[in-house]
Amino acid sequence: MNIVIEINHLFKKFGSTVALNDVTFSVAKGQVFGYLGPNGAGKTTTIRIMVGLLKPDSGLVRLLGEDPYDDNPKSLEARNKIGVVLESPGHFFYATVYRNLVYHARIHRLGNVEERVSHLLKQFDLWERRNDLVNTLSKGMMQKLAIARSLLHDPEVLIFDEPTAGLDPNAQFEIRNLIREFAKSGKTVFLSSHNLSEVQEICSHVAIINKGSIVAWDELKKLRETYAKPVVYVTFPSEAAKNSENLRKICENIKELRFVKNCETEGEALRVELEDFRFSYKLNEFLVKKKLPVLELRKVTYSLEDLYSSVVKKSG
Amino acid sequence: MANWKLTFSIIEEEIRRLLGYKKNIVFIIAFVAFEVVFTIFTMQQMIKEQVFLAAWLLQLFTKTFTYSYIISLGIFIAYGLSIDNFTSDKQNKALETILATPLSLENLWLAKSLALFLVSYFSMVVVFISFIISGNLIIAGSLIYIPEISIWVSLLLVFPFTCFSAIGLMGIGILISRKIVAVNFTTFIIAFLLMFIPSFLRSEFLEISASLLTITYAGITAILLIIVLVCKKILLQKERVVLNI
Repeated sequence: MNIVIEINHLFKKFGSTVALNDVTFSVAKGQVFGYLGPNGAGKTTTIRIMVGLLKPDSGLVRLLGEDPYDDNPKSLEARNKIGVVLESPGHFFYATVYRNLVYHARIHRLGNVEERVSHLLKQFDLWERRNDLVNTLSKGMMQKLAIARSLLHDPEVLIFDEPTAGLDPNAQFEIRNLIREFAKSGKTVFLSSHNLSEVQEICSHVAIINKGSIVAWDELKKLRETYAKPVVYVTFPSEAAKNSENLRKICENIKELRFVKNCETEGEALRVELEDFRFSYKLNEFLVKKKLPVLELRKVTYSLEDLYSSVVKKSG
Repeated sequence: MANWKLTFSIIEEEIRRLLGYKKNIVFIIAFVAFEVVFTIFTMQQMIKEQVFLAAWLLQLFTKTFTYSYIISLGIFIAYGLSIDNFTSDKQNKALETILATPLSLENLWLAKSLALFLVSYFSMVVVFISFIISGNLIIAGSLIYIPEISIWVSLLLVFPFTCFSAIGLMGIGILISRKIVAVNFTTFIIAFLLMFIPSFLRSEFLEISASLLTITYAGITAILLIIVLVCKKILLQKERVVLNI
């Protein structure tokens, strides 16, 4: 496996505040990696270290095999192969949209600057605004410009820190599509986000950070399997379900089954937590035997949101 | 080690940005015009009908103008332009984004400082030449005085370094501190005062030869350059810059 980003036992303190505490994970080539965590968990600090803006107190950071903080030719070359969109768009406010991109194109030593810049401006629907000062753009347009800037030099790795934060749903949708298209081309994407559905939709791998420590890191599918609780919802015809006393009694009976971990009423349904999904047919058998008028028996799909809250809660 | 090819292309972009902003152009033109017009007007008032004093007065004014106004003018223009060049980029977090690219902090500082320097120095030279030409033509109506060699040495060989050192020092200060306005102003005042040291050294300004003034300025410039190099080595670190954005 070709490792693109390697973070090993990373520690970082700001004064007496521990920002990162033994953070370890890696991102392989072609992965779309989601980095999740509550506010102040250490996501932005990790990204700042990853792109070479901050130096870790201890631990190892490698970006395309090089130390990103260093300014030696190899490290600079590694930084030339990444596209970064940080929390803030980071444009020159008093320069035109066009010149903002040209400036960065020249940093990346592109040969066909005008052609490349024009192509991206058209692709991102910014061509009409190319001669406007950046400070006249909307927040969504500024973010689109930041993403266009990050793609200027056709990078191998894209690193995004909350790219859709504060944007309206349309702009979020557009930016998500752009990231998806980039990921489809086989490139590596590292995405920090608060938007769990966004990460669930785009990412193949996920790491969750809480209070400066990584509390979960794996393929999204595997994480779901590890943390998912086998929950089944049992719903009854409305006449039967209206009798809450009756529902409570059924629930008590279900609780006594040895393969049931818990049962509780949720509105007009029962939420049954099993030892394993394998036992759902046994639950069905029990309900049939008791001649209960079951309308539906539905396995719960475990969302990233469930996974996130259970992992974060568990880690305190 | 600075990557000069990359630095030059960034200097070009920085100059485009500085001059692409109308406010900056108006600022430079207004400042340059004021300096020239004000000084020539003052001289004219002093000379009035006494044309025989013209050459002597023009020589005196050139010396004063060169060693006090010209250099402070360069630094003042750089101080005004640094608000767009350094300060606004820092406040908009454009610097943070640039530092995540293959442009090193040293190259970035050098490119920004040199861009400011080139614009400021060019303005200085324009003011000087305008002053000499208009001084000769307006006062005497012909060529009565050409500045001596030591003045040209100051203008072409010493002042560029003086101006660059002051700008570089201001750039380091803005990059590494959160109190941008205070740093900007303090650096400006220190650099500005340094320019008047030769005048303070001798009360009889007229008695100081241009050569001695050139040597004094060269000494001040050398000290400034050493301060800049030491500050760059010790203070200009990426993490310090990023944490103070």
